[in-house]
Amino acid sequence: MKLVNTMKGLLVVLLLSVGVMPAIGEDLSRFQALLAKIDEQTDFRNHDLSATVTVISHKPGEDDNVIQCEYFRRDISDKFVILIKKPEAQKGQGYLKIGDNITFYDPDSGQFSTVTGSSNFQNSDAKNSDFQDSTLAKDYKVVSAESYKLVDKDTWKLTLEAVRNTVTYPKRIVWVEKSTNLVLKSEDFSLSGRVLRTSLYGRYIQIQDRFIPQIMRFEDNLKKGQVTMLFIQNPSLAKLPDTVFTRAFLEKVSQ
Amino acid sequence: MGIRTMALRNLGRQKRRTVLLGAAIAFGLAVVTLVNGLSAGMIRSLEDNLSNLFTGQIFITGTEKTDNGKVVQRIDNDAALLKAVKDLKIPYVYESRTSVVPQAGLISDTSTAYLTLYGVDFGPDSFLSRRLSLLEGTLNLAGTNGIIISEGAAKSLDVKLGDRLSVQATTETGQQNVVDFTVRGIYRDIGLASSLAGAYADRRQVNVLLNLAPTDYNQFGLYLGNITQVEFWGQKLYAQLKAQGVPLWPRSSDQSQIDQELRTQTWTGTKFLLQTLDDKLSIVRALFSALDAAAFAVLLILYTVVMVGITNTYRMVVHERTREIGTLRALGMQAKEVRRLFLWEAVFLALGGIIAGFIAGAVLLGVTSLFDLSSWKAFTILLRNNHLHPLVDAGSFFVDLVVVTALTAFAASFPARKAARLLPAAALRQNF
Repeated sequence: MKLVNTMKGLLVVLLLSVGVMPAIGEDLSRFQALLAKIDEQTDFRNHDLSATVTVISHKPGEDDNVIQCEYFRRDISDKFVILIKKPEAQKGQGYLKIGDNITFYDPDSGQFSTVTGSSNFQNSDAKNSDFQDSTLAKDYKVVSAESYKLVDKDTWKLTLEAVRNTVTYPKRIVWVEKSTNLVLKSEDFSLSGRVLRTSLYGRYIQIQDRFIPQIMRFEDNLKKGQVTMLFIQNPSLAKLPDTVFTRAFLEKVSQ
Repeated sequence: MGIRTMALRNLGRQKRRTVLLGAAIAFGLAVVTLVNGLSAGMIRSLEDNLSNLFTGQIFITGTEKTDNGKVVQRIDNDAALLKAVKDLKIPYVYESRTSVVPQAGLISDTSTAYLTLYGVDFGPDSFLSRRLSLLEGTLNLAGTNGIIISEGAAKSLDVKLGDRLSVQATTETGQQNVVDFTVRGIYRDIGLASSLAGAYADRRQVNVLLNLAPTDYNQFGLYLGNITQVEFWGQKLYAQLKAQGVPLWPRSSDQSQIDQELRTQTWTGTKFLLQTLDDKLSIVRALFSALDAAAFAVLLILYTVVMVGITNTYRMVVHERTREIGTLRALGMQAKEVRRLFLWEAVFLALGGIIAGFIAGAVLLGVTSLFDLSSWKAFTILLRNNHLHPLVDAGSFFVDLVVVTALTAFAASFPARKAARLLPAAALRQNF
């Protein structure tokens, strides 16, 4: 709880006290190219990515739920594996994404079940799809753009609309730092136009020519006071064995 | 005097012994009658309650596959289904067109509950008006954004009539959506897990949440009333639809297998999935069958003990009545008739015990049904109007009758054979 509040305070102070610059008319195709740039910068297509991830979710009236996991990603073949290490009750549970299919492994039952990218990760405000590579250019078209001062950072505030009705959020607004082309903030909307979630992305680190945020904060806009912090630590681009991205791996390591 | 009359008289000669042996048989049968009656009643109540919740007993779901592999559940043209139902003259009580939202998130100012939301057609003939026990509010939500929730859901969400609930769900194609509803009705809990205890709203409003056209729905249901006819008509309807050339999934009660097929196969247009309440309840039914089997196994163990007792008792009886057997043989009774005499005694003893046990079991069942168990929240799904509703199955009683009678006769057959083999002269010479 203390950790969440500290991080929350930091990020809120840093990112939420916004200043607005007058909107300017821009050629939207330029911003479509910006989406592709964002995807490219956060895509580890030429490498495997592994990291330790800590997810802290806070719900009013409940103790904070802290989950630690190992995270393995191979963007070239659209795969990831998440293996939960803590707490003890969830230890050994895991997720395997191959293409569009995400399966969840429960070592207690020894069964795999299908989950969706739009499902919440371990009852937190992070979605399973938050662990995959960015696909903004493929999923969205830019419908408006304006210059925006987000705290002390010059950003583009882009309003995006899904190009297919199978994309989790039909509308998103993203704030992209002009100097780095990195997403700092996002608001995700429902089909009916309600803000469902506000996400903040901070402390990007550069690994070779790619970027990854070390901290993400997801706030549920429907459920008051419900916040999830996601920390990515010890990222590595070391080559992973092919066997990591298999069901057998999840079964084996959970034993 | 006939053999059977003699056998009855012999039973009367040692009343205490006969009563004790009969009571042992009766006790076993009473236990089995009680367990079978309760489990049969509970499963029937479960079926009835779930029929109401699921809005039917035979269900047809339309499935479509999008270009990017997502499965959409939708029925936009039910002409073929209605034709099949009409052609077969299925004797249903009502039909329902429901838009089902599994795992809808009902969000109040203080809490969230995940449960199944059913978009139904309200009106004077709505099945809900006959089936849901409303605590407060109204059941007529046609054309409104009202929602009816269970007493337990209202409590956990801390809402009352008139309060607003945001309902979050995934549309049929996988998009996040939120629609606001107002609590217009609260119904009495029926003791279900919160995910099963549904909420009900007007189908058109639920279709907005699912991003379906106003007239679309995703589940066609038929309520037959007579639960024993469900599987029969389910099979007939499946065959009829197949004969009409309607694309159908193979029948299966294995949901994981169905999910696997939906995920891996590709098809165009709408392919229908027909399931009955039996399919949906196959796991529960298996549980109750296991309970019945366990009760029958206990009965067999109990009767093995009783049979040993009967065998020993009849050995003693043969020993006590050796001279009497010698006299009867001397007066012309054949060895076969002596054997039959003892066997008839055992059969009458068994029949007496069975009937007494059955009556005792039935009385106990009747007594259990008198208690108001409304405070027994966790099991309300197994009750009818807050009472147990035990059922006595004539078929299983007949099986018990045959098995117990045969076992008793078998237990008595060894001493009976020994009695038949006694030589009259030797028997008459016997001194105790």
